[in-house]
Amino acid sequence: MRIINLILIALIVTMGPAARAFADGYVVICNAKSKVSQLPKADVKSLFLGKAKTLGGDAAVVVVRAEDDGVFGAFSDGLFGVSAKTLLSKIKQEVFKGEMAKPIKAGSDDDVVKAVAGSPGTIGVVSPAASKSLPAGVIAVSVGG
Amino acid sequence: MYGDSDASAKTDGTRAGTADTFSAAHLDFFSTANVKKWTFLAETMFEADAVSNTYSVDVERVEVGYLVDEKLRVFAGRFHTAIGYYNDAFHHGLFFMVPIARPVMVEFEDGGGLIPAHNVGLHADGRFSIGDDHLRYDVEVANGRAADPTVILNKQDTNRAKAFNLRLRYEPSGLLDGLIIGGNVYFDSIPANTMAASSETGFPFHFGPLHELIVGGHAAYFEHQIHFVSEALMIQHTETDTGAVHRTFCAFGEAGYQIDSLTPYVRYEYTRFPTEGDPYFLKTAADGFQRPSIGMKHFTTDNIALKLEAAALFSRRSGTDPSYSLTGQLAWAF
Repeated sequence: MRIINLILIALIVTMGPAARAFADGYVVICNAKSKVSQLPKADVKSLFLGKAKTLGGDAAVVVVRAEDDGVFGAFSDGLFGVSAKTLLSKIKQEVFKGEMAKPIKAGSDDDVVKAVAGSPGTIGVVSPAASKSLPAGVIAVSVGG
Repeated sequence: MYGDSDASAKTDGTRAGTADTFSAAHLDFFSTANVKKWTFLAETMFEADAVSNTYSVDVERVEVGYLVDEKLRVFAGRFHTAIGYYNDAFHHGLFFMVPIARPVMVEFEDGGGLIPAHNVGLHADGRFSIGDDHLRYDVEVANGRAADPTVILNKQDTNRAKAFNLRLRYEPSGLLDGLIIGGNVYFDSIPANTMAASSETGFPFHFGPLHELIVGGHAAYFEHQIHFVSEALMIQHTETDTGAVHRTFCAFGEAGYQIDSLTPYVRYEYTRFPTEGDPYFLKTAADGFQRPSIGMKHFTTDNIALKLEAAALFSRRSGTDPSYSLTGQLAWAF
């Protein structure tokens, strides 16, 4: 039992950010051509609010989900501290300002994965379950600090 | 597609000074497209005029841009000048604004605003990291002002001098993440106003060419349900041939707090024109004012916002009573 506990602690320490994302109910994914496997929380926030314009050197495009979507709700609440409705409104305003590209709307994990696989610079969020079977061309992003 | 329908009542306490109206003054078509690092954006507004009561069409923004990297993005076309916070944060989108309307000082040219809200030319911006914090710049070279404050030089600049604008913003991280602190410097040369005459305006103004200098600062914060924007500007017009200097000072601050879908807010505006008058705005010290307002915005659905605002206008003109207004607004975005 003690060995199992030690293994779990080691896993949490080494996979800290990813483990936190799992615990938060969402996993950030991006196009593999972006070659970004780790991002600070602040950078993910900047990408979804149009402050950061590029991901891996390509023009950034975010994938959004419905305001009543559980995964997107967990992402909005966990990372931005606001409801999905408020986050979607902020994104709409940033598009109107010309600060970010119009987001791609997705209705499910599969839609998000397809959109992210579709072009470099694309970033979205899926459920932890969906992140376990990502196709080639899509990678999970470890979100830290 | 954006727009609004309003209902308002204004009074100075007298029967003659009381008016009420409904309006459906704005229909705003917004379009944008992105192809890799290229961006296209256009905002076309159908806007009703208060005097003629007819709609006219204005292409408010039309821009083509290219994203080089985080440090450089370039746009060409007609854009909202990067002055202060309000002008290029809310554009013509009343749906996004918490209050009913823009502060008067940053209203558009045809709405009595004091800033060159629109410009035609080149815009560049970018963002640099300073540790975990960021510095953002906006630089613009454009046609600048026309002799008539309500005219925008869309097709042809009427003098050779171009307007130059620089805005710098500091965006701290950590506990202050979301805070924006910025400043502006804007230079322009304004041609002589050959259309206006003292006899027409009633003011003994000088109508020669002017040099314009606008210096300002702003702060904004929109995190943790807090809504806060404040701006201050000094607008200086120097008569090129006499050297006479005229300075206008204006500022506003607005604060709100979002409770679920409801955001109550307050705003205070202050404008002071020079005692001797400003030859470009054709305003004297008596045109200065203070305007406190209080209201609330209800974020009813993703597409609908309902607002209610009460305001008082205290003019510096001697013998003028304060006027009061109550305005309701249905702003939408589909």
